[in-house]
Amino acid sequence: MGRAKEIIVKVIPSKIGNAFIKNHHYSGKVVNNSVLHFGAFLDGTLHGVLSYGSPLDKRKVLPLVQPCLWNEMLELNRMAFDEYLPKYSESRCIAISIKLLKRNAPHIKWLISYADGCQCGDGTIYRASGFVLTSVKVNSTLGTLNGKVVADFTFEKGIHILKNNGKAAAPKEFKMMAGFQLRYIYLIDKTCKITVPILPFSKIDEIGAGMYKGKRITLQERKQAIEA
Amino acid sequence: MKTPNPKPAPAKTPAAKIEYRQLSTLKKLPNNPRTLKDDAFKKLCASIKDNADYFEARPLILSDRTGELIILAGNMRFEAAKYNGLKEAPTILLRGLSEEKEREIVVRDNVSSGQFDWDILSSEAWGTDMQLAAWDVPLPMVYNSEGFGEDFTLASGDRAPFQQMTFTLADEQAERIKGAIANVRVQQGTECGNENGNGNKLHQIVLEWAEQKK
Repeated sequence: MGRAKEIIVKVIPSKIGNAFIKNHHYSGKVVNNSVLHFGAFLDGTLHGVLSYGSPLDKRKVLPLVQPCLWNEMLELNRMAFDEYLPKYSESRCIAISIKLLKRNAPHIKWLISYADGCQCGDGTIYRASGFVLTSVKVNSTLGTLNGKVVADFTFEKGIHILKNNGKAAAPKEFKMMAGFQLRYIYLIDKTCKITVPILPFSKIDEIGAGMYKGKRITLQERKQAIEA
Repeated sequence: MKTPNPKPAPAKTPAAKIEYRQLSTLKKLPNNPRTLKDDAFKKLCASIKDNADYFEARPLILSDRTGELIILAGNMRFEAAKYNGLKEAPTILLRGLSEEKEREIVVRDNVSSGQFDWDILSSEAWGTDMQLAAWDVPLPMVYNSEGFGEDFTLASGDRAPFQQMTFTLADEQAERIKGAIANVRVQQGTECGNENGNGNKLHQIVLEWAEQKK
């Protein structure tokens, strides 16, 4: 693990976390309903941020794990790291953040996170951190409008609706991006049950959803590259 | 050769003094180009509440050019003072300003000049990054781990058995619904524990509609 072991993870205010995410996350966007931000410090300085919050569609997400009350799960919605952090930093930070969740919020039973297989990756870090894959589906939310990447639910928000005669729909110019969205789940409370099928990671290559650092590449090709 | 008489030095205008004035006698600047978002406004209210001395050191700047006491600088502080229930505020009245000079004061008051020396600001004397961030200092992207901890709390348990619903309506529809809500009488025992009056009235309208459909 090398220098990644030296990383210290601390709770930071959202103002600092969000500013860092805006500067370092590939999307340049923060998730507004984040409630918890962890900072990853190496050599005493902030080099990464993980943010947790409620999923936007919590009612749909809650039944994925049972039993689970309203406040007993979180979404890991953003991870942004700068170039200073060494290899394995992401999984190291996820592990520490889970440890801190267990200590400070023992009622949190599970975590959900999504890998953006349109622009970023297929979830290498989640797999390395012990998350299980529960869904691989063709992207149906992320698209582009005037050269910018936006989620379709953006158009269901007030100002867009008011501009659109009350209609909550994306404009014609909105083009859905090609790619996949992958859903990962991590059970903190191992007595809970995941209610949907757990997919083998090989499913990613089967469907053609492999992506690493924004480039289409299968898990198999990556494995071969490492072995070579 | 006779030396010409030197021009007399212009008479100095007496320095304007801070004077506490009733908020009700002041007028906000029409067409003010400055705005403040909700969360920033709440912070300003808290700041004025907690730092009365600082408020006096930065009084509202007024002009009487139009015959009314118009606030050139400090419109947001004026709003915050009203929000906090203050009856008066520290002011300085600048007399005899031209309209152009007024515009200049309005804009200049909101242009930030100067910059922080981050080496000095990051010394212990100025507080931790956490404190500085809370004071809205636009910190650079370099934070050290000191001042941050590992503890936090998160809400637990189930959600409250209440929810908010949002609809988009045409103005005409909205007026009709508001009218119906204003006129309906809630039947006792239908509240389901809800203490929101409009929610109960809307529910009553639906109950009556369902009854008619039978």
